[in-house]
Amino acid sequence: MSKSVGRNAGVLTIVMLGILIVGQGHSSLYATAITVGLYALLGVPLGLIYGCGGVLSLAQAAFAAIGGYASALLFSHYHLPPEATLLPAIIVPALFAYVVSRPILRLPEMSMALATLALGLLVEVVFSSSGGLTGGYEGVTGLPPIPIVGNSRVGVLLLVWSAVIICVYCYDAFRTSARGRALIAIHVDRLLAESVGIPVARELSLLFAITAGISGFVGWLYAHYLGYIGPGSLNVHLSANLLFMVVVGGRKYSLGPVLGAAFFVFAGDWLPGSAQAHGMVFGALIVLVLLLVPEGLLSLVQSRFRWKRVASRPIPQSSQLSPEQSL
Amino acid sequence: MKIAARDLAVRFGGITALDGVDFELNRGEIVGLIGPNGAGKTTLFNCITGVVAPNAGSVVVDGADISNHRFDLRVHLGISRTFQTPRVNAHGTVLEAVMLGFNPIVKKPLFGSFFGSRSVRKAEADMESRAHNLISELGITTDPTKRAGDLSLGALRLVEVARALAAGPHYLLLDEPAAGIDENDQGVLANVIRKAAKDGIGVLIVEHNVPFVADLCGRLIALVQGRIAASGEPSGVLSDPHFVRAYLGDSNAG
Amino acid sequence: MLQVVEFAANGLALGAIYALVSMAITVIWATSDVLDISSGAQATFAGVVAAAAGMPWGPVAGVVAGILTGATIAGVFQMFHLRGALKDPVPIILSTFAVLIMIESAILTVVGPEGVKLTVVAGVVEVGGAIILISSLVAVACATASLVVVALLLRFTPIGLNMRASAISEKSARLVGIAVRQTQTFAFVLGGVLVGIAGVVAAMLVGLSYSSPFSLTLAGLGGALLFGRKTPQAAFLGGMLIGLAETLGQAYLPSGWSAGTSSLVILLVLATSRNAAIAFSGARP
Ligand SMILES: Nc1ncnc2c1ncn2[C@@H]1O[C@H](COP(=O)(O)OP(=O)(O)OP(=O)(O)O)[C@@H](O)[C@H]1O
Ligand SMILES: [Mg+2]
Repeated sequence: MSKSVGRNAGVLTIVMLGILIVGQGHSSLYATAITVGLYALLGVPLGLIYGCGGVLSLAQAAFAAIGGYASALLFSHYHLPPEATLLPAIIVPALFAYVVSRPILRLPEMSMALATLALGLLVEVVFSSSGGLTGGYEGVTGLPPIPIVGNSRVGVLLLVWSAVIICVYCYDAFRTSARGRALIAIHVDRLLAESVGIPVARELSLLFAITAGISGFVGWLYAHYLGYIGPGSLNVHLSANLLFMVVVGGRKYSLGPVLGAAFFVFAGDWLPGSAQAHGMVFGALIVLVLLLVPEGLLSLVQSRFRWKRVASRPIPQSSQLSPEQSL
Repeated sequence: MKIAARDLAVRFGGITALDGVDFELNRGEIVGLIGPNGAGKTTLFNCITGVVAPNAGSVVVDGADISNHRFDLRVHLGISRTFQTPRVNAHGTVLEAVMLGFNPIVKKPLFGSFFGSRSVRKAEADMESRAHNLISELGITTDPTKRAGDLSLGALRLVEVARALAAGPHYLLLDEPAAGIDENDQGVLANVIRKAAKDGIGVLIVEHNVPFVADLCGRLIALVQGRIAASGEPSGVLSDPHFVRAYLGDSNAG
Repeated sequence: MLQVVEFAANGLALGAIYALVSMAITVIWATSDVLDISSGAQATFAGVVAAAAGMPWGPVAGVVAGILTGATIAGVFQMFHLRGALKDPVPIILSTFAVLIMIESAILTVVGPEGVKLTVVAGVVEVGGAIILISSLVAVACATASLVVVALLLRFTPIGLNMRASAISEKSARLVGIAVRQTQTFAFVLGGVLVGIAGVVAAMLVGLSYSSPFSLTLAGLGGALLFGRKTPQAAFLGGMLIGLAETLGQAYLPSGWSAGTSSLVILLVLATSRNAAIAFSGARP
């Protein structure tokens, strides 16, 4: 079981090295790979809590925005350097997520999606409307670059992708641990999880807060990589796209969100026409993938391995039987 | 050392599911809970395990009042249960299903779980071999690597019992464990239950299969419409006129 | 006092748009367990079509456009059904989200970032000194009439009966021989009519742009949730209330904050609902 834990992280390391080599000749590849990495860094934790735990969150970009803004505001109001704001950028969204999670995470999937969507939009409204504090619609500009790696593309690439690789490794390690089994049990059936002593609400809140913390880190990276953050940078559309990336790539695989992120970014680069028109093609593509490969693109590659297509079996699952029916 | 429920009452809207039930379960004892459909047997389970909060009454375990404890906390006090409809992850293996049962007794450090620390991996390997042992000890012949969703109902119920036993409970509550399973599996189940009781576990069994419980249990409790209609020696309960009328009248009609 | 009347008129007119979207969402979701995120986009599309067609045929074109988009979503739904992929509600709901993104992008490409407006009726009436737009009255009348028609349809027609049966339990409806798939398709089309009207009304009242789909969907969802997402009557009231609340917010909150009204309502309703795990089982929010 634990033998293959490092495999996916290894695959990703090789991909990163490949990008580093190929990118020597095509410098635009670095920028693209950094974007993919940032999305993947948001997507992999979402893939864990959604794919394994059934937490359908549309607030991930909002958590990233909170992290980014935390850093940007500490810089613009108190002149704190990014080194000093890293911790607040992670902790503030994590705490926020922990505090709001209890009433939201007890909801069934669709309601949870709706509630997190509303939460994300509220965060957006707060950032764009508190003009004096957050710079309103203009956002905050002139942020210093990421410490150590500075403005070096290769440096940023290495940093972002290393973080992704670590996340993928942690995902795989977690999923095969007792805690991971507990998370899957929560997803399958909360009563089952409670019947073996899993404190469902606390466990979900904790994981939700951790993903929010990682999102906050991405917000920090984003803000200091671009030197700017605004209310439109990390918005609800990004949250929705992240969910698409997870599902399109494969929500049951640690590499699924990475593949999904690559698919999105490369499709965006290669599609003809203006960026505005891409939405039409994207939308259609998403519907097609959801329809034809509901387990995600990675399932096409991995179907021969252990995680097989989910066949329907006459076993009661939380989504089919309400508690009172099946007790 | 016992579970003692006092004066439990549960109402669902207009339905009175339990109406002043007093009940005790000692460690090492096998007690059968019988009664017609809708008598409130599962509801009594739910009250004891904390799935349903009673409208009145208290639950005391080993002298401590746990009436306000959540379901998952009570498991840590040594109360394990199964469900009338088996609940498993259909996509996981039998082994994983049983390993889930160890949850209350394994350490699950947060960072160790994420980074695959040595101690977590060792605990994992440990648990895996203990699950294998438990499965073979209980006489379950199902292949542990089989998908839980592919099992027969009988095998599934046995896996659930194994999962409930994995945590090393003091009290084991089984909701219709013999319903819909073949004689062979019933035999395995009876052995498992006897062995558990011999190990000092108090077992409470809800069952419609009266010969099965009468044979197994030292004491029967007959629940009718949320009240205890009769209790005591199996032979006495089964010949109690009040209970016979309720039960046989019910099953004749149905 | 006059101000209050004008306020109420504006709020109810805005609420009329939301109420129509809420009713569409409720009808679809009651019969087919699908949360149609694209409702707002369908409405926007209908409104843009109506504005492009201009008077006198604009409103008709808008409603037809609404029906077409509703039928499209029904088609997607049926395809998911054919693939046997309805167990998990998430993919189909994500699909409706994808449709929303498609429509947004289409509007941005074809119409551009500027909004469109359709003038159906001009002028104002004075009610005891308060000045009320005639278009506001038309909006409220449209929504109310739609509510009455939908309620009557559900109450007294065979297809309405089928819809109510499918809403209670798809399985039982199937067992008593109701053609559940057709019924659900009809619900999507009926939803299309409602969002079509919503789009026309919105084009007339506030104008529409590429950014409208999302906010319309959100307001519609908020309205549908507010009073328990069961009947079109509840959806109507919910939508109206959200419209009123937003108008109030526009007047008294610093600029921008009122955009959070529907989100706040959704969040509060969901977070405070008692017994959420049981009350909202399955795919239904
Ligand atoms: N969650 C609930 N909500 C409403 N009513 C309930 C709920 N759970 C049980 N009931 C009702 O309470 C009564 C007792 O139900 P219970 O499940 O305890 O019976 P039982 O003895 O276990 O029956 P069976 O032999 O069929 O399993 C029944 O009338 C049932 O309909
Ligand atoms: Mg029962």
